[in-house]
Amino acid sequence: MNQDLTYTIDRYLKGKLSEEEQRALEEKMQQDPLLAHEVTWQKDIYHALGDVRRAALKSRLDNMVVHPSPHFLGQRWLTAAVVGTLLVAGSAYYYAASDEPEPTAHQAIEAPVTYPEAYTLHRIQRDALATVSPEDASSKEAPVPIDEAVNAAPTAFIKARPAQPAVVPPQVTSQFAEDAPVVDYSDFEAPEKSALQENAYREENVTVEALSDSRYTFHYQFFDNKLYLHGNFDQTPYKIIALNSEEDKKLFLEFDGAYYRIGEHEVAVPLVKIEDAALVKSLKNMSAIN
Amino acid sequence: MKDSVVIEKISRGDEKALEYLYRKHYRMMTNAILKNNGTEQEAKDVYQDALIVFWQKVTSHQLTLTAKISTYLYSVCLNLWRKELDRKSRLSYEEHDQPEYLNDEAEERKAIIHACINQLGDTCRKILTYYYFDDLSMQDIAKKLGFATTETAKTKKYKCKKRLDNLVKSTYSASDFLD
Repeated sequence: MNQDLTYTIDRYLKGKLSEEEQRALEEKMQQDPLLAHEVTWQKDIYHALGDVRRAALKSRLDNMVVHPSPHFLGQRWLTAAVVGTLLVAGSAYYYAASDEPEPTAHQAIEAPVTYPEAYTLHRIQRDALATVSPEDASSKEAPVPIDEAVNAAPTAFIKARPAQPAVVPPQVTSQFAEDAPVVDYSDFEAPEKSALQENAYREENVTVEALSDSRYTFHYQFFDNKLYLHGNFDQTPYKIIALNSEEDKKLFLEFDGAYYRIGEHEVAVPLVKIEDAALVKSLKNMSAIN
Repeated sequence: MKDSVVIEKISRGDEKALEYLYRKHYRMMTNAILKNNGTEQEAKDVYQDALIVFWQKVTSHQLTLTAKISTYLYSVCLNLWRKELDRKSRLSYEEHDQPEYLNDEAEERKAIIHACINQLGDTCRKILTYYYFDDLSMQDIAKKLGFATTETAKTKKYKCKKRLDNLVKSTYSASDFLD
């Protein structure tokens, strides 16, 4: 399949083809059953990727702790306390950086401040007061923003400065070779093998439920730290192994002498045995220790 | 943060802006559902789903918002909730003898694909979901994942997609033999 056709199918799935282009592709599909078959697969993959991304975003939101919004009186008090402890220049800077016209001190207290911004502002301004003097302002390096809601360096004495994002150079990972002609799959496997040696085994409070009368013969679901095993798990014992690395934790199932990856899935998916000998060996060691 | 700033950040795939919105409108949106015969959990679910609809429309540049974000979110929430209420009332009228296996083959294909996606590394999974679901530009994907250039992102996406395609096809044909 050439890259152009692949790209066309991508755009077709995203609904980005013009009416003419769409008709042309569909005609081609009618004439070529292999192409039609390919598009069916690509459509399923496209929807599955959507499911995965939606689930990831949803669990991210779900894991957030949402505090009830503070009583309005509380907001005013907080804002007043913040403004009251700052120099006038500091508060003038803040309001100049956002798009409001420069208010008087009295107006500043009235202006509504949303909960997260007030907290962040308080902390940044407090730090700014402690460390910055006018002469130092220019030589100070812009720190990484604590919260992206506040878009400027905390130099309290620069007035009317337009909001600028602090520049954080992207982390360049050196693990892949850009010019390598050979396809390098080392990034594709999860987890990184070197990480396994360093990881500590930690007790996971994952709740497991085995469902034997399910339409699925050997599948699982895993979300919200709950693992549902579908299949015949009554006879043989199983074990959950968690490997924690810097970025995240990975779960594995040990069952009947084999190992299976457990990923976040709300929809039941089959348990796929791990074939990678090195990984299996590491998991065996991990299992033996605990 | 002003609505326009939030939208700008979201259009680049900034998930912190999503979190900001979630907190900001949580009370208002969940209250709307609670007042409409929803439970706390249902309200939360509908709100999250609505927010993700909004997210995707913005990241894929399909939305030109003329009203406030809260107004838009509110209407999406109510629409989703109305659909859910319809679904619940339909279920209560019909007998519970719906065929469970609506389309075995499609379900199986879906399960295989999910398992294969799960086998991809985090980076691959992110590149592909950002490209296909969020429809972010290669430039934004490169920035989000810390690649040196846009070309790097393009190459990785190509390799990751090939890898996924191969995984899916080999797994599917393998399972064919088992039947």
